[in-house]
Amino acid sequence: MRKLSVLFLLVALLLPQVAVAQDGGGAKVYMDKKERVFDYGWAPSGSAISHSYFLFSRGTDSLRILKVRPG
Amino acid sequence: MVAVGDSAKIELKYKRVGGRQGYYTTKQATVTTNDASIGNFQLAFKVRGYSEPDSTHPIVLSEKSLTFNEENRSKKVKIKVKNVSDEKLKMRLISVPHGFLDVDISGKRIKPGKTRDIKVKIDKHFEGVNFKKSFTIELNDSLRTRYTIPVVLEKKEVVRAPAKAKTGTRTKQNFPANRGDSDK
Repeated sequence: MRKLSVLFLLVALLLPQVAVAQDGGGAKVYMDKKERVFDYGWAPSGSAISHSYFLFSRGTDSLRILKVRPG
Repeated sequence: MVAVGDSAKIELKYKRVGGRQGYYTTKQATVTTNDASIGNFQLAFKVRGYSEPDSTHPIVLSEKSLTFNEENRSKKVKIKVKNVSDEKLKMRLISVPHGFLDVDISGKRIKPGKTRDIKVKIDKHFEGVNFKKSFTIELNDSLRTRYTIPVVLEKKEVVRAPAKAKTGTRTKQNFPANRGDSDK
């Protein structure tokens, strides 16, 4: 009976953690909000310019970039 | 696929800076990932084009953009930055395409009326033949004015001599149009 109650207690303690892991788990992308808008400032008219944005994978699963669409 | 704890980069290119001179143009891209909690999110940039710097510009650059080719790709190119404002200015590198360019800016202040150099060279590890990139600097003036300098590495086009006409081939040039003097 004691064993059963210990087991029940363990299950009761672990269940919420599993739920949290499911809610907060999976792939997570992180990027500083300030980094999401880049200001080039002045650039010569008609020229080609480029900038790289860095994304960080901070979840429990690998991050996949599925699509990047202009607009 | 980006492993947990790792990072990835997304490069946005703007092929041709347009818009009304001096006014900001904003462009954005929507990124979709497998992060269900965030859904889509936007990356954006803003830029204002100029043809010639006017009196509102705190500096004047000797070169607005740079072009490298096979001949000068190993050379260090200098851009002279002249302070045309009335305060001391300091430059800071904001964005540089790593692995493509090596940009060296002076950390020293530029006094009004004086110039300092920005030294640019192609990264020695870059083995490709062409690219279109840019780097961005920021000044420490009250507006935190930024300048973006486009840099192009171009493959030199091989100019071929036009093929010779085959022997015996008649062309129009050999036989000009009848000028009406053949009967004379």
